[in-house]
Amino acid sequence: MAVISHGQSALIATFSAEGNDASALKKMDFVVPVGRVIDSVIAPTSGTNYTQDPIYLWKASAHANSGANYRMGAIKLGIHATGSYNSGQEYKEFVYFKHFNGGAIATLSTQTGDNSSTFDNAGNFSLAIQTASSDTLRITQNKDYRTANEVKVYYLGGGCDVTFVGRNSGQASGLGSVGADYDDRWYQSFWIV
Amino acid sequence: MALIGQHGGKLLAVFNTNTYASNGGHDGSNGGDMLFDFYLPTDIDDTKTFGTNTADVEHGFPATYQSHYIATHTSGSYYWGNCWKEFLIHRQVISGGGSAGTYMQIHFLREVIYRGHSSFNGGGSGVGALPTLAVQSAANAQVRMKVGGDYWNSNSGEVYYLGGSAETSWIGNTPQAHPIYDTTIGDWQE
Repeated sequence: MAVISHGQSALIATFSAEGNDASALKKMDFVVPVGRVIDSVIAPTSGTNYTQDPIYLWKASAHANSGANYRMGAIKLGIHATGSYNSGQEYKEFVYFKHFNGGAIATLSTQTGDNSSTFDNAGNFSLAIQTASSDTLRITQNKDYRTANEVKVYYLGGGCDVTFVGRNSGQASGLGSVGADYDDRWYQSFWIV
Repeated sequence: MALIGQHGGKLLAVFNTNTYASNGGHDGSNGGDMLFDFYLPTDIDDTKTFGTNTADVEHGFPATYQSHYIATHTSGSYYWGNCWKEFLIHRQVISGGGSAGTYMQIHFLREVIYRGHSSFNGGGSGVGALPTLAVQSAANAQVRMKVGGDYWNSNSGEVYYLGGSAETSWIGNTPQAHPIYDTTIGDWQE
């Protein structure tokens, strides 16, 4: 059985401009799953110097939300915005950083395709943080024609509630556990001293 | 239970350097390296059920040449900030001839960084110095990660598997048709 992918990127939000007011920029909010505790990370509870294990305090800090133990995070998103009247489309990849002073958004790449000369020539779309405390992001899409726009948001990887497959992980499928259909070298080591 | 782990990235490794210096290891503030190893999931995919027709385009597909797409997220809480890096790792298992052996190369792809504090990850306006990845053992698919970039005891991070030649699910042409997806693969084209 395959241990890595049971399907690739997940679709986490979609928006359609149908019914949007013709004169306003379209603003669409969605929440990214970056704040959850990754409960598949199981910290060691015994063994030599286990409290210095790279995994141990990472796991401990996953439940804290202040100071040095605040759980930071990063999530990678792919966003595809289209227009079907003055037709065109644009795909961007972003990383949303979560940190204790709010968050930040960085753009990894942009591809624009198949535009008509009148598609979205004022800037296509952008992504911004709307409410950092709830990991709510806002897409602002510039207009094609008012009823002819669509946006899809894909999860491409990173810090949401993902499956941990490193040492001590305890997935029922056998992920990370010795003896399953799995190469047991696939562990992370203790610190190299 | 993990929400999204079955789709897209999986978490290969995590770390937090608060645990490190107190173990008698290198202190990152004293020129030492903070290192650990992780391993690529390189099992040959056993979900492929290729036919025996040697004319099929997928017949004889080898798993000896692999590519692995990795992302790292590191963060600091003292000189605070976040850094996201992506890497492509090639691995070849060559069984015969003059080039027999196992090889692995790590290629840095791109990076975005947010310096909440101007000194995070070396400071300045450019890219972050850490983390770095190096081949520790090609035979064991073993990668050594050097971490840091903030104050020595204030770094944490994760290593994600974003895709590639690991033991992935095969959804191409199989004797068992997928109920939704058209699994047909075309014949060789002239």
